[in-house]
Amino acid sequence: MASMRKWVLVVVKDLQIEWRRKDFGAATVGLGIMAVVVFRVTLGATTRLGPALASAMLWIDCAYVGIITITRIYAREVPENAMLGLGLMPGGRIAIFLAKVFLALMFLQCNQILVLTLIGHGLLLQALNRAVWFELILLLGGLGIALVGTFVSAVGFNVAGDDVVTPLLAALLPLPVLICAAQSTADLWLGKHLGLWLQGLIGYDVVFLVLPMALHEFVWEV
Amino acid sequence: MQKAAGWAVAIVCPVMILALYLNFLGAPDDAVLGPSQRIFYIHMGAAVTAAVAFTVTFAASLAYLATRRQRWDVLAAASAEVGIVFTAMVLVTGILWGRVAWGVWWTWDPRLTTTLMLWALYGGYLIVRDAVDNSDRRARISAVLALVAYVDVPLDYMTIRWWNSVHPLVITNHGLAVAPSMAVAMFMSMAAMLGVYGVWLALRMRLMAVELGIEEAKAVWQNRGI
Repeated sequence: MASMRKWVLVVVKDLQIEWRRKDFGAATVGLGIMAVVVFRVTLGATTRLGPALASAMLWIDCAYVGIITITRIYAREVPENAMLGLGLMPGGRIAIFLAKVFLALMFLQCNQILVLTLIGHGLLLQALNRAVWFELILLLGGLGIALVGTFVSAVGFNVAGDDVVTPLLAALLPLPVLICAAQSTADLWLGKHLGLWLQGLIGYDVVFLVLPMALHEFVWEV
Repeated sequence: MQKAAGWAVAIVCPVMILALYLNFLGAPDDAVLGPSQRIFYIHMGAAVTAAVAFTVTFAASLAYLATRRQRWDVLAAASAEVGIVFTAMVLVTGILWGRVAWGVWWTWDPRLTTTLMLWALYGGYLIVRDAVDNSDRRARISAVLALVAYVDVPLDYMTIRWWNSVHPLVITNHGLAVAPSMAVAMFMSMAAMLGVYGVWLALRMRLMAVELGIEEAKAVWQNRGI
């Protein structure tokens, strides 16, 4: 119960900080627009966006958000050693991690919605036809990136040269998630059967849900 | 320790000479690829050794988190360092073989991608080790990272089984997909490289233990204001 309360408090605290600073939100919107603009300029305004390219655009954008914003999710706890205070609150420390993952997933889902709206109405309508499956892929892909990004951010918090190490790890570790998610999204748009890619996505999410939960305490040991 | 290292070198040297003989002279040329097939023996030996090295890092990291004994951290780090060198060998020999077999230096095949990822992940592991000054914290954080990075090892092995890949499958459900004379050369190469790994690991561990000793001595001197 105490952990649940802690989880809620951390989520509310971070949302209030975001409401005041709007840095993560701005970065999410900015990166979303930037990725679409770069792709559109490169492809030419008249080129019709196919499922493979649209899928790549969507997940490259998520990777950007994962690397640039989610890996900084613990940075808010640096001033005045706020992490120590959070750690001393009643409830397990894993509640802090899960609250951060939840927030990261929220930002990623907002980013995904933004990019999907910018991609074009044709593909968006196609996605809405299989809305449940589409949301499942977005959620699983987003969760994978959020889990890895948040965990890497926690590791980076404890490492002196985290400016280089954290983005490097955050770029490499979710690669299987990105590959599986991009392939699943493209397959869904093409009307193909979702097989191995979706299973791979679920498998990787499970691994990265279990691993950080098992290892999180070691990261924050004093 | 020095005597043991001498014995190990004395055992590994003849095995390596025999492996090189079989790789370059003993094994027959491939019917399609000709002599360039010989790259495969080095490639396969290095790949198996890299997998063993990262598995040792994984097991030693787990042991460190369970016992907090520094020697497990030293073993994990030394094994990761040597593993990275062997993974680099896998990548280089793979690129050379791929140029002959596929006509391209590199392709974003699942196996190639996950191997490159493996190399970079353990590179990150070593960078993290350098970035933390406190030896206990360094050991703890890098053990956690080693466990996370190890996810890529089984993934790397299974990619060519799960997804469509241009990479050849040597170990199949029905046995080895190479001729018996080639298999002998392949296994000999594996044995020789594992021997080199063992000797190298022992030397690196000894050096790391000395480095840790110097670090601790420096810390003691600083605390005493010397």
